[in-house]
Amino acid sequence: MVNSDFFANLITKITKGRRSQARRDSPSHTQAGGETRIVRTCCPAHNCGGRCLLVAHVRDGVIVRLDSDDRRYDGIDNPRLLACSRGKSYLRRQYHPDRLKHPMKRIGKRGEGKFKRISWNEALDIVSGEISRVRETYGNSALFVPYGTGSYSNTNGSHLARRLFNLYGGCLGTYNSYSWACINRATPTVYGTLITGNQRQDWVNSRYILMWSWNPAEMIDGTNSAYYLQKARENGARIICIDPRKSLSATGLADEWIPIRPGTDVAMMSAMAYVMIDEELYDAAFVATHCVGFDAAQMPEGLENPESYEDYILGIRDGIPKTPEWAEAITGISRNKIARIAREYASIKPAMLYQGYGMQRRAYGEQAVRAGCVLAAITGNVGISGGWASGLGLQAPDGGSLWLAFPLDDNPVQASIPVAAWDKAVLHGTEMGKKDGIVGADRLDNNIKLIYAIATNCLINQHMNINRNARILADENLIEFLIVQDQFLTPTGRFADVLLPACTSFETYGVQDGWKYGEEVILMPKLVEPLGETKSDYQICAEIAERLGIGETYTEGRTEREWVDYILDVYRAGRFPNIPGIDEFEESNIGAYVVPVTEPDIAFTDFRQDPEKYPLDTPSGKIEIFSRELYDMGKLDEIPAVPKYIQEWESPFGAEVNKYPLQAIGSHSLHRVHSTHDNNDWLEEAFPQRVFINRIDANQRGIKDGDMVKVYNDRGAMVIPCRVTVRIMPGVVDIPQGAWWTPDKNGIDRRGATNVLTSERLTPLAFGNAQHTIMVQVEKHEENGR
Amino acid sequence: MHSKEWPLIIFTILAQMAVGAFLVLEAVGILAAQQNYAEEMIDALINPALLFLIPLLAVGGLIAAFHLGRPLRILRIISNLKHSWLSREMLLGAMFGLAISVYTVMRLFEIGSVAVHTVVALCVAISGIGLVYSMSRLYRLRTVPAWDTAATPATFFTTAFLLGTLAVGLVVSGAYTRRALVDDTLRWLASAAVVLVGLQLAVIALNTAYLSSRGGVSAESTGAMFASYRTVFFLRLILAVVGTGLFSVFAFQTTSYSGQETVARSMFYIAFALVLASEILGRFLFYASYKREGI
Amino acid sequence: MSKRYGFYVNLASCTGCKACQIACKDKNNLGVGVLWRRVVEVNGGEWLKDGNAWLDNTFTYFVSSACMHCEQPICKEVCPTQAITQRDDGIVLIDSDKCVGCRYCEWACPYKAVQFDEAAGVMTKCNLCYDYLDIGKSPACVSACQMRVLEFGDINELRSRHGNLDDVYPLPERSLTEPSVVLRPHRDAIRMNGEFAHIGNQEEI
Repeated sequence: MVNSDFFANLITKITKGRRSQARRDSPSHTQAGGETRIVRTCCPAHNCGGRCLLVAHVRDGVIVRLDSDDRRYDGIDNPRLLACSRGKSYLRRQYHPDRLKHPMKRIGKRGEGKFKRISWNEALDIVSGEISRVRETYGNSALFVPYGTGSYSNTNGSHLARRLFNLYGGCLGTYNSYSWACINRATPTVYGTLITGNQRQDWVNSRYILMWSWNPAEMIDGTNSAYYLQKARENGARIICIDPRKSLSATGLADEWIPIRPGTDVAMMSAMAYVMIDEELYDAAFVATHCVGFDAAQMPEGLENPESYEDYILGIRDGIPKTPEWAEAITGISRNKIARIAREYASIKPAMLYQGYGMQRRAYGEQAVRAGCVLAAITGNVGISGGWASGLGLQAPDGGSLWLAFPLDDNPVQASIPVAAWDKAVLHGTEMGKKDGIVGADRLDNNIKLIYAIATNCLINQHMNINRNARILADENLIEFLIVQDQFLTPTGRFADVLLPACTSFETYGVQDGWKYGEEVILMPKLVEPLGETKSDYQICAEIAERLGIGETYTEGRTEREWVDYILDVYRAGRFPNIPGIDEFEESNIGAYVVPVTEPDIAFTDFRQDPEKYPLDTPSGKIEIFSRELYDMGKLDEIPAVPKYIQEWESPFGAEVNKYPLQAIGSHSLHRVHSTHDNNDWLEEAFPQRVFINRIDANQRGIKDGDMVKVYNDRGAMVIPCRVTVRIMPGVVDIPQGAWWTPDKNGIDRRGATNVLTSERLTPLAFGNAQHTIMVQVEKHEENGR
Repeated sequence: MHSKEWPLIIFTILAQMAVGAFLVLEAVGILAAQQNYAEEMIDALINPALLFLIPLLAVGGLIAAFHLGRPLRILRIISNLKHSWLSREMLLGAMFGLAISVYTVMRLFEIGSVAVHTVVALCVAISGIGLVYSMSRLYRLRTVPAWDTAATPATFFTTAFLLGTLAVGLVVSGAYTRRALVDDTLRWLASAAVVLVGLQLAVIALNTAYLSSRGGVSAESTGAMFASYRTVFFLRLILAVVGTGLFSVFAFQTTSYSGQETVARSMFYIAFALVLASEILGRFLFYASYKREGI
Repeated sequence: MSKRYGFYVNLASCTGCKACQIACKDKNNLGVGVLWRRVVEVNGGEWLKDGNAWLDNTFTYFVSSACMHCEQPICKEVCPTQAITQRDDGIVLIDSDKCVGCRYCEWACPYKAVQFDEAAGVMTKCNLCYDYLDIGKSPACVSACQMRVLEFGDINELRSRHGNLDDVYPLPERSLTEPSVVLRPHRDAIRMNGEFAHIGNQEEI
């Protein structure tokens, strides 16, 4: 029984070349030695929360290496923009053998994934023909560009199609995002603004930081956010991480990890409020002058009767005091620990309660957002250095960067849908109205009939309930034409009628700014020629515009590089008055243009000083613990006027637990940015896709570490290996989101695409996706015939 | 996990068997000479057996060579004689191979005087013992506590002699020489085999107890090995005892009753097969007990 | 005393993000299966249901580890071909042209630092990016560390700045090879008991 490889490899071994081959498969060794160009550029980033500098080595038309930000200075006012595993492994994506290189059209049934290579001319003729046909037949509102964040460099990305359609008479609009629908909608109900965050350089002034459902070490909520937290800790801050999963942040950034049952954050927050009220730890003076609706004496005029926050917490109306004992049964956190955290957060000043987004991509995600903001307010942590108002936390004073400065032009079609409701607009758009989240019109006058999907995997992979999405897309009577423009044949791409190959952001000119956080603009000079026949998203849309007769309007005669210069002008007119033009920028090779933050701005300072003189943009001008707007909606069960714990529609406390006893969450892994990089082999090696399950749950099921397991519920099933770990709470499994849906012949996903399990039901107020609210069963999988 | 070590299992077993068999043959030769058997009779007993050793070693060496990532560079292995026991193993292996080839040719073709034969035989013996010793030292890495004990050389040598004894027994039992010499030889071998298997069991027992008591990575090694291969462990012990027992019983029996030779020979085949299997399993367990300090 | 290079890792703030591991692969063009730097996840502890609450005494920390450029490099000692050498500045190098791929050093090294390159049939290892050191740059892993917890330099200087600790689980006792590394332990490494700790990501390292 000498192993078979042994003899099989014999010949290979003897005939082996003299030098290492593994080191030759990289492009750097396939080329004859030439001059190496060193170019500072931005990580293509896709849609993580960071924007990082990479130092590209380019030789003979090939990028051979991506070094880290090499700027000398690294102070916290202007720290190095160091890329994570994804940026550092980008060449495995850039030179992946599966890159799309030619336009293709579908030859099999839709979704079968069978394509035939065609010329650009034929492809663009088909695409422009279908766009004008659908517009003639149904009108502009039947055209749709889905949420797509696979490219973000201004000249690459889904917004290029928005500009195209906007100039062509418009298309069905969208609002919100898959990332933060609830926090985006609910933050202003408390504060009247999304700009609730101090600049990050101020974090070092905090003494106590609650990282609530926040994992900046993995999802990268701003380049260097994790580093600022480390600095705060070095400065004496105590950091607590509240998360069902012991994330990399809980391990490397926090002093203590508090595992919490998913979807029960508001129960803990309410119990914390109970302790603060019971022990009179809250900032009564601040509440009296800056808030409304805290107690019965503070209700808005004309609404003296409804339940105040204090009424709810003490259980005056419902008879249930929201005590730590009450919350212990819901959250799984011991009453003592809840009380301790409440006392610490209320008494250590200044303190931050930073809300991550995971807990708001849930059934009643709006409540967690509002409850967190209320705790920040009643502890008086609003408007002070070292404090944090909670909520979305766009940075003071102006909300931060533009994210995209490429002009989209106005959309003549007024109606917009929540991004996560596109499936409903395909199935029965004409029946949708305000109750379904339609804005800008009373109802839609069309179902979606044509989709132009650029840099998005949201039609299949990243949208809830993949199996349902696949059925919807496969029906050619619903979506009559589907254009997919991407760099790879994604699960969404498999459903395309025409596939258009886009180049990467390294293969054209682009520019990115600091996104949510940061004070920098990073130039992306064109490093190498587009691979194969690929073109930039801008170029493709420009050529379609040409065929639709709006070529000149679309391009305004600019190349990608000239658009970048135009965008630099926009920045210069706004937050970066001294930013150089493209010639100087590119010539200098500085990479990032940065405005150092030496005196971080603090949100709400004026309001804190004088709430009468500087009122908030809320109906009362104050922090709305009780929201009149929400009260007036008249749906208090699901949209209460004060933040409440509401049991989720799939939860461990419902009847569904008998069939599906485990909660499943889809964490953000360093393997991917959403679904981008799933095919990156260095990242799969570093962060293999697994179902993470607690030892207790695994033992009950006879599951051992590394076993193949089946995870399923009524909506779908997957079979992938498991990782038995102590790093997740019992009763909860984690399937890092974004793996590419890979159904076998029985329709069972073999890659671990979390969304085969998720539900398309939207949250009540924000019409946001509630992907983390799901129950599943896990069992050991025995392959048939083995 | 340990499948990649199969070439090494086979190589070490074959090479050790070759060394053991040679030494046993020489011992038999000396004893026979002491018993005043004629030189031709002894030659008839020993020479055919010698012929088996070269191919045994060659096959082992070839398998070892092809477990290397770059087999064609094999000669480089002797470049670190100063520090590396692997270099020394390779050199001693080559010397043993060369010496035994010369010796075999000299004996078969009756080249050289008895004195020269003795000197060459001494060279073969020394390089052979050196080979087995260097093999055992090679595994005594200070980062691998389960291997870094006196048990490693002890088991390698008992393996060499036990397999050598049974292999020699198998070959000589069919030798065309005087019946009394064969009988005597088998008796000597049977006694040796019993002693050797006893030694081997003692070494295994002591070593297992020692490793477990030492704690740390040593205990983890034995613990992990037992967790995965408890059955293999006991099977290996049983096979060794049964095989040796079978050999000894029939070796003594043939020498007591004539006419049993054919039955006895087939029993010797079975006994050899059982002990060989036991040693292969034992060596498998040796590699399976690999657990290094650190990561 | 002459200069000897080594690493310092502040494990207390290492998030296990593996940017160092990937930066190394990018710099050195390493295929899948070859890791010159890896990040070990250490786990342990138990979960206990107490009434309605879950209690846990679990611990987790990460250990980023490459070649330790030991003062007594066992890989060099055992290498039968003298493919492994050590420079005066302590950097342990392997000459792939001399290596026969016997994998003996892989058995011996307690840090998993010498890695078999299946395609080439030879061993490979961290060379501390000496080509970068020669032009005054830091090794790729060090300059990639987002948390700034990875440093390199003269080991004596690192020791005088950060102390002498270097045997946090699962690293072996210093005496085996005298590694050129200094560690600041994670809080969990301080309170854990080595007997109950285990490597939680064996398949990744």
